[in-house]
Amino acid sequence: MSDLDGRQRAIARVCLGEAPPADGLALLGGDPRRWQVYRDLVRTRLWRALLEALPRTCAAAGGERFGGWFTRFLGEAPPRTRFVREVAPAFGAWVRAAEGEALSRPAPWLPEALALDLAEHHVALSDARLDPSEMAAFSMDLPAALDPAHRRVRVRWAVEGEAVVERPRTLLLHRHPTLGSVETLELSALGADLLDAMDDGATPVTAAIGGVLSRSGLSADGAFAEAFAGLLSDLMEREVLLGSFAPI
Amino acid sequence: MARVEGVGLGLRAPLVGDLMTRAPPSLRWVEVSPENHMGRGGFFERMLADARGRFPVVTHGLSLGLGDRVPPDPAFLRALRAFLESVGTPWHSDHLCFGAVDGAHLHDLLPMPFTRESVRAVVDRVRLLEDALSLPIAVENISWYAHPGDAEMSEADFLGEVLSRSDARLLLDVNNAFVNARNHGTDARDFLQRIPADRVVQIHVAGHFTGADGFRIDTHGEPVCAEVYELLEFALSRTGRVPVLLERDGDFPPFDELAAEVERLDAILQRASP
Repeated sequence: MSDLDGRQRAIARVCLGEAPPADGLALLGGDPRRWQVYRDLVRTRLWRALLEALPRTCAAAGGERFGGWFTRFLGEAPPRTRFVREVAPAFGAWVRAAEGEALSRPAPWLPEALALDLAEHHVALSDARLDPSEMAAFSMDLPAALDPAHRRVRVRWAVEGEAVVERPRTLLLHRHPTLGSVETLELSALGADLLDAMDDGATPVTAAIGGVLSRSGLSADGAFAEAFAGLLSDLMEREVLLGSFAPI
Repeated sequence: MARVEGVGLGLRAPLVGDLMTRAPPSLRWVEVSPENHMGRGGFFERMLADARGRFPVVTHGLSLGLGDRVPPDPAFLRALRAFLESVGTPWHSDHLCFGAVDGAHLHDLLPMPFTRESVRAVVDRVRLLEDALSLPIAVENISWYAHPGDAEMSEADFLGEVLSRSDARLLLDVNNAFVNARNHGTDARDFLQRIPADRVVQIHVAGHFTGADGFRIDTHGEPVCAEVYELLEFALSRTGRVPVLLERDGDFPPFDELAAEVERLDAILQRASP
């Protein structure tokens, strides 16, 4: 190992380790307080990125537990990405793997807080888009073309005032068409099932609806038609429903 | 490729609204960090499109790691090249530091030892990047707070060696030169006199934080201090009139204060020889 490699690895260990290692500081030399400056800079930047992206997760886990994950993450699996925005998803995946079933104890809503944070992060930043050459105007006889940047998250818990209560529902997260901010739409159970069925990129909308109604024991009566038209209109206005996939 | 001259400002999300609607008259260009925009949709994509419609763009990287030991990711370099071509930057700059070790990215500007081995590593990297990106690479002197191991040369000599052995240009950060001089008890003007002024294509100016013990950290979160304005004037007396960028990355003041800083920088720049 060259001198340069050794020194760079020593700096990395000083910055990422649970504590700055004495042998690393000795190799680097100089005033250890100045190496602490680097340790603080590295950790503060990453900590802020995680707090910004995962506020619900931190609140649900509590600062001490969240901070413990952060320390272990840096020590055991530091970021492999050059993009700061990708650190939170990597951290989230590490937390899920490290905690396993324990993630939902003692707060059973913690896993979905993490899922919701990561979904919001994805929606804000994603550059996923459909190829315009593959799209057509919306038709019930064609598969629906939904914005690939949106996310639907099924959640069981809701924060109401100071309390967390059980209230299962599906949240649709999408980008505001002009502001770019992340907006949230709460879907009914039927609306969520319909969107799930419509979002495979292959099934014509009429067939998707038929399957859902058949499984639900419902019929396509006037009330359903009116509600479904309202849902489609809302999704088009929000630019979640972008049209249809053109026939090949 | 648009001509880049005069004073620029770093494109940051909290600034974009004011930038698009009431930029100061002397603001001529913006600087963009590709890592903040590549593969990113939504607000950042729109912000860049708006800025490109109004200003010439110069790119300033955050992650090329001119002192990194692992080869750069070819896929990233291809994507970066496409991005640089799309915005029409005349050169691409990054920092004279390392940022990744054994695949782990530390997301900060970590100091290279001022050694011959470091010079060789950086020169090899610069050549590789210039080939891959088909653009001139400008290296930026960083603020460094500690030196890893024993130095074989001064910072100015290290920088000079890198530039003399490569085709790299220099992005001279005047604030970093000032911070280093204060933190390490050296003379910033001496540093500026010893670097090859003819290689400077761009200058950075920023504010920094001063701790209770007098130690200074390059934060880009404070106003530019008087000494740095004076040092800029001195630097420009050596380089001639090169583009000057105001960096502000945090604790954003009312936009009028930033606009006043831009105007002050422009006044200094206009006094320099063309």
